[in-house]
Amino acid sequence: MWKNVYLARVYRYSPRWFLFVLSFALLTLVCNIAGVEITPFFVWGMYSEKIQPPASYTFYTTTVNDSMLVDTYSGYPDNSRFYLNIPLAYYEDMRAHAGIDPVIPFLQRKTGSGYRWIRPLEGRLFNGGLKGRFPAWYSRYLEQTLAIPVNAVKIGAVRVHYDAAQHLITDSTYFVEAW
Amino acid sequence: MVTSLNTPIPLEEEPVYTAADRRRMCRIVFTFILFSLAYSWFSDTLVHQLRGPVLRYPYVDLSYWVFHLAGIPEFISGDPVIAWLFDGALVGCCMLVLVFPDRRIFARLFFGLYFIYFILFNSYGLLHTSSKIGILLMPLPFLARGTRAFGLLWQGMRYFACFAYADAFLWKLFRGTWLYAQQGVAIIRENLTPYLYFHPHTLQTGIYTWCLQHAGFTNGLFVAGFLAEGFFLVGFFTRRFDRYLFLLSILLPVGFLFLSDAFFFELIILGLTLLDLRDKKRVGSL
Repeated sequence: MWKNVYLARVYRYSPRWFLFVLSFALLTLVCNIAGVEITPFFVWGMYSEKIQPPASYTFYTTTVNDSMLVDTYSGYPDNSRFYLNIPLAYYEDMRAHAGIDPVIPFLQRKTGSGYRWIRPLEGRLFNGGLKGRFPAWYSRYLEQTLAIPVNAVKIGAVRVHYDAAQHLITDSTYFVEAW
Repeated sequence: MVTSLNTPIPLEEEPVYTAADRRRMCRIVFTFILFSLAYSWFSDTLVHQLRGPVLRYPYVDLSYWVFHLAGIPEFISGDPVIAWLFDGALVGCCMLVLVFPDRRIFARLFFGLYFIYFILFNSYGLLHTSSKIGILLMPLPFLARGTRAFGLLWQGMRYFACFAYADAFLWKLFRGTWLYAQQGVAIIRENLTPYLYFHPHTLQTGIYTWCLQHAGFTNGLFVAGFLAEGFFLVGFFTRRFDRYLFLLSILLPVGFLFLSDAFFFELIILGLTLLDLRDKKRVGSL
């Protein structure tokens, strides 16, 4: 029976291939046990963590050229929405934390004193000094997706919560930044 | 080895592939990949369309670290001409594989280029999404020399497809998420709140609001997806249910899209390994 299992067949074909396939499987297993993904040893744990619904939700809005509200949920493919929303939220999160990339404190917590080995690489791995660079890029990407010249961008934020009947209630809308 | 249209090949038997089978399967896989690249183009996410992104996210993935330390994503995306050339090479290689499926060099080049694109897309998108993993790995069998090696790698990809979903099942199982009554509602709220805000009066908003009001139903959908993922464990022991697994590999991305607004249709390419693509009639019968 065992002589016909997949790995045995691969071994009969080529011991070198057997080592390759076995190594891939074992490294994938190790990454899954450790809960750390190292491409191409993937961990398929999305939405496996329990999500505690927060009391309120905040998201960003973008107004272009003082008049055009960018509604990424209308007529934008999913990937465009992904690129319009996630980098903006990440950037605003960094701005709210003195411009520090959230991965840095995360890694400092995880590695403790071992972070001294990572610190010299910070400038090439993480984000910093984005003042001006991100707004310029975001305007360029908006021009790409909207196919219009972008002269002014206004970022706002909306804070909402759900009432007992699960209807969305707007708590506040406020100005965040403009360029 | 001849099998009838309705009889799956037992797992302990090795399907035999001819050069013509390999060519046909290569064209099916790379047509799918070409559609995926066309989708990237329509969604303004080919490298030249990213317009020199500045935020990166290697996170804790050491492969991303190596790429960024070597400056590869920055070099390719930072210059519009290089970005254009890269995209041209990526799409061109995919087309060349379709035209010359027997020339492994084009598949190899494509694999290398797509690996870079995969890292670049996820790093500059600030999220390591799994949606393009199938596109990244499916060219692997076509890098092999000879039909026997191709067949073994194709079967390996079938195991990988089963593993991907089974792994998602096991993570939820061991973390107890399937017992957590808030998960379905929390996922919708986390991903669709801006949609509900911008479109308060659409049918879709009505459906989502109903789902939020009926947490039991919504969590039932989440648990149904969890069980469907668990069904892929069967694939490690028999091919008898492969056509059902293939159908699930199509249905699950529909569920991901509904519950989490995540476009995972590119993962369907992994499901192709659950089909016997050696005979055109078989493909037609599904």
